[in-house]
Amino acid sequence: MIPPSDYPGLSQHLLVGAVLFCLGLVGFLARRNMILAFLNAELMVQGVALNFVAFSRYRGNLEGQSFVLFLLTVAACEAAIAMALILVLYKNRGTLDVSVWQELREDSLDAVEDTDPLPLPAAQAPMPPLPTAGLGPQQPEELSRV
Amino acid sequence: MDPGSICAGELLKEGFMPPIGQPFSFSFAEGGMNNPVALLPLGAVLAAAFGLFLLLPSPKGGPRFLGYLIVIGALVAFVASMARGTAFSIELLLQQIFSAAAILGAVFLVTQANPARAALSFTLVVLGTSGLFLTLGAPFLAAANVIVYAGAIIVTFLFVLMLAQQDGPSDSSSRSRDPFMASLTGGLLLFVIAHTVTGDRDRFSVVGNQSNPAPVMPARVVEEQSGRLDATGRLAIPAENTAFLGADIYRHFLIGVELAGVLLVVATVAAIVIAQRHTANFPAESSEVKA
Repeated sequence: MIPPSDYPGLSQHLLVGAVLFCLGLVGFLARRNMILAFLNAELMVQGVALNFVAFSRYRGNLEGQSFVLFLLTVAACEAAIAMALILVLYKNRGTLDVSVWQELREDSLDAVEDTDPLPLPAAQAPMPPLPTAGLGPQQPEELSRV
Repeated sequence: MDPGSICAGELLKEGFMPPIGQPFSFSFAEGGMNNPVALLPLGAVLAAAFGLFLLLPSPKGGPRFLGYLIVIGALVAFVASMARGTAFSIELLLQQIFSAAAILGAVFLVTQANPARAALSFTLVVLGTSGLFLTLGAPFLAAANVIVYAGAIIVTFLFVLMLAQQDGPSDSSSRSRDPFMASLTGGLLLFVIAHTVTGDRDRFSVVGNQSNPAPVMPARVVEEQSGRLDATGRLAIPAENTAFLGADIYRHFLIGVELAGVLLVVATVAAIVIAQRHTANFPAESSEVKA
């Protein structure tokens, strides 16, 4: 008789998968860059794949690993389609921000307006002073003359 | 012994898995609400979620140092708790290192304002999970994960980011949408999942515990699996991972393999059709525009 609880690492691996999944959820909900939202969805997929492989080890068969193989295939297809869609959206509005598409929201929801001003871009360090092109620095006159 | 012959349907039939449709009982009875120790994990998860909230990009700028302190503390506590109750082993140490790398990369991915840095930190997540795949006896998947994600997906996304990147702060990278509610949602979901996986009173607990031992495997499964135990008494999986994985896929999921191929072709065609300039397809329309 093999009690499944004999495998000590299962719950730890499931917890790591859950942490990755929830971090991906937070990023997907909070980030406004379309590419980052998609990468966060991929992060959730990684958490799920980790669960599959952990269960595969725990059950002692390869079904979980087979599932992850299909999961990788679907993720690759999904990445290609998402990239094409994001490119089309970017060409339309000139920005990756999802909030420019908020006219697609439901009627009952209010429009989100950004009230806080964006921080100023970091000040660039002043360029080192260089001599004007074409005018070399003054050279000491050569002493020897022919 | 056929490595992949146990399917979920048979397990359900033989009473190994809990039947679907039973009422889900979730309660803090047995002194849970009155017991502060039982609520400690909830507090820890919510504190980590608050640290994540401080780290999410916002134009106001918050105490990011405090956020880093909380999140790193929570990560260290989580990784240290993985070693609880087990003797030290190299496997455990590797598992801790890879888990920490994956979670740290995930935190950077969620909180970095610079999209290129965030995409690169996703590589760290992929490397961490691939390392965990290795410790779980899945070397082929570890390699495939690195090749497909780090090698293909990240690089293509960095390429698109380069095309669309704007200098300095922008609406898309320096602002978050409802960061507080988002991190609260993630924290609560994480607490519920963690409680389900490890909880003491939950009869859906996967790993079992004292008051509610994990379900016993049916006799047929145990008989098939006896003689496949490794040195630590766990179920062994074949060392020839790739060969057995290929045999498993073609034996049990042949139609799935064919469908995956079809899906890849369709996705390729669809990506080309979606991304190309549509004006080139309609010469009549574009000539009207010229006229």
